[in-house]
Amino acid sequence: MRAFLDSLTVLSFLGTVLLLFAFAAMLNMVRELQGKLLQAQAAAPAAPAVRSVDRFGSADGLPTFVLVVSEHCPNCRERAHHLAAVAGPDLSGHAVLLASADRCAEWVAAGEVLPVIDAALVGTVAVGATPTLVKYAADGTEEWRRVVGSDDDLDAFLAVSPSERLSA
Amino acid sequence: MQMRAPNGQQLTVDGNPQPFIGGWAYLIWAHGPTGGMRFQVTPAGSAELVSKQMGDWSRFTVREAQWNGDRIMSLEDPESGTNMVWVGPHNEVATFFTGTNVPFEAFMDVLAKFDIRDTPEGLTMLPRAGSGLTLGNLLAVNTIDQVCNVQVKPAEEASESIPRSAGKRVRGGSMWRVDERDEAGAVQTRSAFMVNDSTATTVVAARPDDARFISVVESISCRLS
Repeated sequence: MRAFLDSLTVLSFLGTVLLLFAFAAMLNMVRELQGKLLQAQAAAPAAPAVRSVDRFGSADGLPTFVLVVSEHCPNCRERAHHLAAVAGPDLSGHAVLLASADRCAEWVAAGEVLPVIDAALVGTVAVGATPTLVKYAADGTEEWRRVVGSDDDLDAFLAVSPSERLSA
Repeated sequence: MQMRAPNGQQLTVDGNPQPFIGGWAYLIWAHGPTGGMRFQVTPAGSAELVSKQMGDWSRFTVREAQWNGDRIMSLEDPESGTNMVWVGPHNEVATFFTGTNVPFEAFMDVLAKFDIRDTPEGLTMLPRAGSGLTLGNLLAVNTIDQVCNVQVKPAEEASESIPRSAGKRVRGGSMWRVDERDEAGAVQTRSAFMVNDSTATTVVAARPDDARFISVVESISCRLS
């Protein structure tokens, strides 16, 4: 009986030591992770990922304006109608409407705006708010993106002058 | 009546003989390394409704967009600056930017620093970990129609405005009456200031000689927990 109790004590002592080792290893892992997170946070603002969508490149050297819209958004609908009204030869660039719902394509049915219905691409472009206008250079790299709050803002971002808008 | 204040505290207001005109409006500041920013938290639609009633709406350049299924609006006054409003299902958060042509992105960057939860009981906007922001200077405001205006703030933020004289003892605290008189000695505005262990409340009468004001002062109780 005595020998059994002794062996039990030794075993439990060994168990404690093993637990200590495991705990130390875990602490190390947490420290490594923390270090990596800090590095990642420090690196993120220094090197912003260049966003590029090949599909929005063009062969004629003109930029492409992509209006990203969502389905249940009255403002998106108004902005899309306005984009359809101003798109054409006067606009120095191509106009695209990007959405994930087929219904949105009807908003620009009458104009020279190319509707692109592609939920995966909407996810890739990943705008925060809608409607957002994204300008792509001819090689398909993103130049800027802005949330479009009014038709006047859309004109300003497209650099369409008010006189051209009246004739459109 | 129990409400949730933007900083997560529970505001309990009881004993008002007449109902309040509507939901509570809150002012709250977020203090951070780059200074302070004031937010107004009000029932959804208030900014639009109030500026339309006050006749300001026609002056504004209105912009609107959608962000995560909620509306964000920019009401730009060419003379003073831009009010940005996030409109949730029950409440809205507004803040002011100086200048015009303020991009929505500036407002979205500010909102992203908070964990905003909008429920029928109230909206909370707690700073996210790592934002470096703290909330302070809470003020809750409501109105009993044609009788008085009620302003509640945490007691610890009002310690400087408590009069030195001993107040009248009321419902677990003290009360002081404050009359502002004109040159002829007539009462211009009449208000009461009440302090208990959690709140400092100011009740401002719409008309100085209104008996209903006295009954509000004698029965209302405000707590923050």
